Amino acid sequence: MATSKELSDFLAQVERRAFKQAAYAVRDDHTALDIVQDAMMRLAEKYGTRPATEFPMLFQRILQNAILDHFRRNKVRSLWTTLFSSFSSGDDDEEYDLLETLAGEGAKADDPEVTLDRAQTMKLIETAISRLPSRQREAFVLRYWQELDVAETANIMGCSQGSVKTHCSRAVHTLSALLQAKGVQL
Amino acid sequence: MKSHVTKELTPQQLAKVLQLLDDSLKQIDHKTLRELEQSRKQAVAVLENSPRVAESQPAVTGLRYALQLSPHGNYRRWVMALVMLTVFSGFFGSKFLRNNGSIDTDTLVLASELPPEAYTDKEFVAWLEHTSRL
Amino acid sequence: MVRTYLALVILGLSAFAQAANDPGWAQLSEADRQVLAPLGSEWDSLRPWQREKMLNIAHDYPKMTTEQKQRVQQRLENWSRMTPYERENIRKEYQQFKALSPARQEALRHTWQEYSKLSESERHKLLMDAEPPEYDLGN
Repeated sequence: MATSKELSDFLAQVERRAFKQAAYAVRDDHTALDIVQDAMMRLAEKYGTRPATEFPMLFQRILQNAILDHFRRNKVRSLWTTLFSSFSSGDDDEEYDLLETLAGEGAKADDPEVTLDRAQTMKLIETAISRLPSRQREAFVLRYWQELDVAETANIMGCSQGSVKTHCSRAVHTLSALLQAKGVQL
Repeated sequence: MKSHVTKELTPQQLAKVLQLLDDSLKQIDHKTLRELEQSRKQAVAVLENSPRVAESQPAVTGLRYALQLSPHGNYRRWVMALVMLTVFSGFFGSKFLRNNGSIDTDTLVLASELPPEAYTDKEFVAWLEHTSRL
Repeated sequence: MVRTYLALVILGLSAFAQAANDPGWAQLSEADRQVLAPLGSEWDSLRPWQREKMLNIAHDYPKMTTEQKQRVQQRLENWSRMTPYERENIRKEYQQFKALSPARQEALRHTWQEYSKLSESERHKLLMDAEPPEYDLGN
């Protein structure tokens, strides 16, 4: 049975990644925070007494479900959230413009002569990740970023190991195309 | 971009992508980090308080004891039942007195100039979208 | 005999604790009943936790301005009929709303007022024209 310190340590270790993971999926930081909070609570309430070694898998499954729950909810909330974020994004025009530019499907690749700095590249990659089709993103994030093995990823995604491999390879393909289109040189 | 042949990321490039994603974790703003920390503490508190949930089970048992008490029952049961009752009423008391400080969120929502319906009205949201794009 | 008596007292006390936590309409104070008057007819059918929330609102009532009191009175009935899920969503939206700058809050309030003046058919048209964001769920 896990102690509260074990739970605290575990959450401290995974919370940033979990937040990003949720943010890539829902494209909104406030919602992502809510989702992570919800997932943390569910872990503590329902599985807090399980051995700490089970936390990583349990938490990933809960987090994934919490993200899906978010999408299943009525769209009104999403609309409001989108609006709130667009209402507040006026304070940060630069970031807004970057996202706007990316949003255009036919956006031209940046001039290859201009080297993007590290921060810009990071931003572009994050945006590209959040633009992946959701199953591809899940597979990519779980398998490569969270470094779960194929079986664990399949377990969390609720699909076969073969599908995980397919989603992963498609994800890399899509990501390559997205980054290439934005002129990201790695 | 569909007209171009996509060059697949090499394993090295993929590693770099993942490295940059890791780096992005260090750039999460302070406000977000604070909120994450707060959420974590709340979750840990839930676990820390769960023994209290376990304690409330004897309280139920205690009441059941009281129901089953006969004049021939032993004193231990009585003492136990009384202790449990104290715990029980303490629980109700605290629940009752909880809200004497700050104003309840529900009150704030109801008293706010923007009515609750505004948040759930799909058509209003559509109207908002319409006007915010002008 | 003494023990049986004691057992009854204990049971009575716990029943009292239960009632205090979950008071019927008749058990409310006069002040609470006045505030919660719009809910009078349905009070006894509300769930205990709903009653608790509503009582919290009633207890905050004296701290409000006349204008706020009026709003609360108007909205109470509708509020009690929402599902817990709807209410929870609205609380979250409200928090987000409050996090906006005063100017943006004012802009939103203004927009709501404008919107409230529209007729049913004009509103409907707006809904038809606006495209909700699409989320790709893959699968």
